[in-house]
Amino acid sequence: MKLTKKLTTKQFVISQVAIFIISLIFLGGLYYILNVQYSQPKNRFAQGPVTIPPKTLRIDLDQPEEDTLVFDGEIIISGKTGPNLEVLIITDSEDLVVKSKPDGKFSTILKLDEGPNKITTAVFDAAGDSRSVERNVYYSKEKI
Amino acid sequence: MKYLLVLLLVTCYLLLPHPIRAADSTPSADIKSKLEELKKEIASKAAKLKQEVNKKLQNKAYVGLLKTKSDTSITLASNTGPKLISINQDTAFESKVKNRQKISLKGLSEEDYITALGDVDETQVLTAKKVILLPKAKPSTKTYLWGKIISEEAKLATLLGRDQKNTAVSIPKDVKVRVSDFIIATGRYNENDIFEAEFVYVIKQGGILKPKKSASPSASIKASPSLKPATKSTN
Repeated sequence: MKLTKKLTTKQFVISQVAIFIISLIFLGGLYYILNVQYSQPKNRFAQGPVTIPPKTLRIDLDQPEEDTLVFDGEIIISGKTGPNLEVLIITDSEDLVVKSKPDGKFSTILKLDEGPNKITTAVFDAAGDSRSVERNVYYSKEKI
Repeated sequence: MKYLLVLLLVTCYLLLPHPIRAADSTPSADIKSKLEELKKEIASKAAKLKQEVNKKLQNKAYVGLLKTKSDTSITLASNTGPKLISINQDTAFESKVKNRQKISLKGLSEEDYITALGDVDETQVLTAKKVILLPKAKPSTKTYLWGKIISEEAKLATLLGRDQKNTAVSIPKDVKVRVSDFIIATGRYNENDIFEAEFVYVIKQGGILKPKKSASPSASIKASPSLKPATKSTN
């Protein structure tokens, strides 16, 4: 093929138009593949966050910590579980039920016996499934 | 001529040495103050964190049965596993057992029920400020039940649990329950296997008792007539 061959004006214009059309087709195809064929939903988070609440029942106790020594006869019991669930808190001498808030948090004050106290916190769902957690707390009237 | 003069002036100006303003090698006062603020913030956060960690390590109590002892340490078997307690000359000894009022480390023996009060270190070893001999505790039998009351007469109710098992529950006198109520009860089993409730909570919104899935007749295993009992072949 001779590259030195001179093109007529008509040939030159046609070649330029052809290059332009081919480029347009290529870019159009690329746009279709990237934006139309593999398009992602725009309102993916319209229904709220993607995270869903855990389906299994659980209970996390923030307070008190295990093996805590206290000098006050009352202690705060707080933690987190599922929303609007019955939380039972028992010791050898005390029993109480609190309901968790819509965000799952719960908190109450529990009276302690002098000496060792085993605190059991249990949560129940509507079907009677339960989870429990235990904490050992020692109440001393005298400060050390 | 006029243009030439202007051109000359411009050239002269360009040829004049211009002072180069290098960037300051020391931070400006503004950056310095910001750095100081940041330092203070970090220091206060670190102090808070240290305080929280110390709080978690302070005022701890290990309760359990004495397993081993030496002049400087005691090993306990607690509900949550073995615990190591460090003893020093400042450790005080006290007894809550009537017939053993005065005690010391020497007076403690294996299987004594004790508590050690003090602070723990990062390795969870408790440095005892006080060791108390406690009366031996009976294992707690207190437990709880959840279920639906399916019958009730003279403060004796039958509770249908989640596992479809019936439990006889003695209801406290001051508590009113009705058939079909869903309750949470705490208490203990007596020698007749009746649950003596100490506390009863009626769940206002009720509950759901799912019937147990039973195997369909088609799913039951049928022995095929062609099957013969396996016998060990002997040659």
